[in-house]
Amino acid sequence: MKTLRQAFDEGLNELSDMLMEMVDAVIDVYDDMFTAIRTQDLEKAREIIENDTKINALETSINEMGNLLILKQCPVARDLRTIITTIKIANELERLGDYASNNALYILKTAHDNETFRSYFLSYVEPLSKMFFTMKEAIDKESMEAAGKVCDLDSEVDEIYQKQIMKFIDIAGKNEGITAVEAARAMLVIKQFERAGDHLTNIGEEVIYLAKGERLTLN
Amino acid sequence: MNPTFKVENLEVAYGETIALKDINLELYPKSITALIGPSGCGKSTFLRTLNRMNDLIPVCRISGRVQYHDQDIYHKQTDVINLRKSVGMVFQKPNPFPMSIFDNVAYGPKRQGIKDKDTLNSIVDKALKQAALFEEVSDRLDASARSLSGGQQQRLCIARALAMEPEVILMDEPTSALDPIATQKIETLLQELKKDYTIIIVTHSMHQAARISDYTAFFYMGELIETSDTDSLFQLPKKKQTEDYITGRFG
Repeated sequence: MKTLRQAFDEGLNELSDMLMEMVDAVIDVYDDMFTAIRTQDLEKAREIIENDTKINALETSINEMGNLLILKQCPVARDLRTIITTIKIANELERLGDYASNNALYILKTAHDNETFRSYFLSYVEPLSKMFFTMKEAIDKESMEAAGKVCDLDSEVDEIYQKQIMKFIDIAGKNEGITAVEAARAMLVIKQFERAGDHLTNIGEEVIYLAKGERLTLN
Repeated sequence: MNPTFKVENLEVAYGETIALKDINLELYPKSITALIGPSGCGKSTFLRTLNRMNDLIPVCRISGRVQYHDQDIYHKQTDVINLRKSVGMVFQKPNPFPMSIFDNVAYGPKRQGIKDKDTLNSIVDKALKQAALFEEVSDRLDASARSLSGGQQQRLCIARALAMEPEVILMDEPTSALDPIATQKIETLLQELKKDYTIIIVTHSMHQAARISDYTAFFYMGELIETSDTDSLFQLPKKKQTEDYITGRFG
């Protein structure tokens, strides 16, 4: 007969599977988003927006399952940290999904307008991909090292963002074929990337809390 | 903070069976310390060493040191009656004497030689109020204690202990025979009492320990595995055995 502890472990595994599913879904959505930016693929942009509801639904399922496990098992120590961090990471992932969705909306609105900003946007592909990849490893292996690396990588994203903001202000001021509104919109796009980096860092912090039981602020 | 009890190298054996091995522990005043661990781990034995209740078991042998303030309580000159006046006890099953509510609480003081009616009245009133029972029974102090509900009986036993004006109250699973509402009343009461008393409680409910205690000591197979403030012990236990026990992974 299955012991209650085994049933609890099965519940925790199920929770962890849902989280990994959500991680993969968010990684896919960022891949699609950058592809859509590169190719101005409006169909893909629409898909991203539609798929966001799936990511949201996964977050809801994780919350419900987490609540239920807390209710039924009264978890302590590591079990409690696992559930709490899973719920928090799911929340961060949900926000990450929203940012991709916002940028997909931008693609739909501005398609074929001009190509000036496209290359700027694509400069986030590398650092963000690295962060996503490392974040997945951190969660999957509960690796403090990978979690720390996610947080370190965020400074690359911040650096690119800071430089580009100054550049966009410059572009807006010159008024050479690009209106201030267009430049402001582009700023909103890169703001989403910058925020994405922050949320990935938060996930790194959660993994460190799970592994160590201590809260560190790396942001 | 000076500990109320300082236990050093305590060993307890029942005949050939060793019940406690090399226990070192300090218990702090005006706080609740919970003793947890599986059945047979020695937590109740430990509790009973603190007011020498184990003396009543003929085969019980004790070595090491249990210091209550400055006094070695196992020293041969220790007055055990006086010790038990300062270190009261409440048991798992409510065990009121077969007499009236009033007489239950007045029993100890009377035995101490207090005869004055007014003095006894005020002792009983005060103890029943402290035990959060006064309002429920003030109109029937002459009724039999056995007419009370289980939860009320347990609070009566607490009042009976309080009437002796102890400093420490030892409790051996005081709520395990009670329903959730009665349990909650006792737990709330303990939060009040710890302002004035030092409470040591044996409990099988880990969540009771987490809810109400300031310090927790985890015993396993006669050894004290880990002790710390309760919040740390339940969030980030240092020993694997503790983590395995509190998360239900034992065995």
